[in-house]
Amino acid sequence: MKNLIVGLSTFILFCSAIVAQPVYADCTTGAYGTTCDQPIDLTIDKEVKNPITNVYVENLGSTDPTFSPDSIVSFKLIVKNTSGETFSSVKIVDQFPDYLTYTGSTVKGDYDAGQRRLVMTLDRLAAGETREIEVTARVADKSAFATNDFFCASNYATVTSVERPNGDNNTAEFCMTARVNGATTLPIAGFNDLFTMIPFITLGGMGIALLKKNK
Amino acid sequence: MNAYTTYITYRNKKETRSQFIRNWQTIGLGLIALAFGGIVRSLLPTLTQELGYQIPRVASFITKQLKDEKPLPTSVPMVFNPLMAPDGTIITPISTDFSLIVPKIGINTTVLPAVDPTNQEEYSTALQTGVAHASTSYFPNENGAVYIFSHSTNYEWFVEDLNAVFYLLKNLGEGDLIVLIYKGTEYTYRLTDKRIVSPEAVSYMAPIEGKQMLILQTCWPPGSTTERLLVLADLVQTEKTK
Repeated sequence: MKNLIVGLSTFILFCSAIVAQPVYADCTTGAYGTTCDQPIDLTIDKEVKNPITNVYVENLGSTDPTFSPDSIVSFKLIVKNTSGETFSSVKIVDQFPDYLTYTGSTVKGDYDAGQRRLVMTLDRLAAGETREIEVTARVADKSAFATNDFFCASNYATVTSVERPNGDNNTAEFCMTARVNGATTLPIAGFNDLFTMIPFITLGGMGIALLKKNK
Repeated sequence: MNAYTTYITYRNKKETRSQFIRNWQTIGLGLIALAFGGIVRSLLPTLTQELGYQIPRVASFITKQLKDEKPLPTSVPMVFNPLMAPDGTIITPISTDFSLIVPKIGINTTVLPAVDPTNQEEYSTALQTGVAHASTSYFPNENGAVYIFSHSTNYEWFVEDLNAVFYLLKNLGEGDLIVLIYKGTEYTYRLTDKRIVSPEAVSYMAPIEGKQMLILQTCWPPGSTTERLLVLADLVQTEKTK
């Protein structure tokens, strides 16, 4: 009986050791087994906010809701440390596509407007910790879409740290609509009442002036 | 010229001046009255709509307070009927082909199908007889967003036939029900969001596939074309019209 318990315990420990092995990046298998550069335990996931439902999703394809000129696109970066150690100087780089300009983020970063690149640094990311960063960007105004009525773009983000220089990367796709059947504005469903009031306002002003002048 | 004559001349001059001032004052007051009348007259349709919405609400609130109404016992089942007006009366749709009903603000109007939202001449004509369904969007029985637009205000001196049924959209809030009747089926939507966007936000009228929802659009603020008010609602119930 004792032997059975010892045997079972050994088997469970062995299985646990197999399961607990980290997933490795850039692994190569040769004659002497598999060698890996570094484990994938520092990950980044990039999501984009659906402009209709306001829910973050992985990607917004061509048949999903799109963004208009001058509108705000929100992204969420989810950075995870699934290792058992703390990572230091975690660097997150967010590369914006054309027609998109950085407007803000929940973690302070340095934005290079020329390269459309945002760099943020987290001093440390503890073992098992997950950090969510929201980044907003503005779509260019309609004058920038002279030839494109509709097109899609990808926003690319990477994460690295001192301990994991290869890190991880992820993209979020979204699409922009600048014209619908040639129209650049929503229907004009109203009437500018203020213009029609101008003659009356002018008359009222003249009346007040006459009253004041002759007092 | 003696002192008396001088006094009379002076008095006459003074009276003439006073008369002159009085005349100008009368003209001034007349102009102010005219301006006031014109402004009030132009705002009358808007005021009428707003009062038509607010007065029954206030009256209902006062009645409830006076009666000290008690809630129904829990054993009584509550019947979900989206076609019920705030005063409890049942609304009969104006058309079973294609109509829009918003019980809270008293909208019960025909929807003109497949109106081109990019052709101002076409949609301006359509908006005089009802609200317009954008041809770039989906129909209620399809798997996509339905886009409907209409005028928000009325200046009847100059635009006599302009419908202003969407003026009260601003008074809707999250959770309010909106019903579309389309080809004999009743589609009930629940309001999820209200947004004020720029006129360039054309992506909302582009085809939005994969979700049965409704977008209502009008101009904002009422009486201007500066921005657009959008009301977004999700489909919550579909059933055959009774």
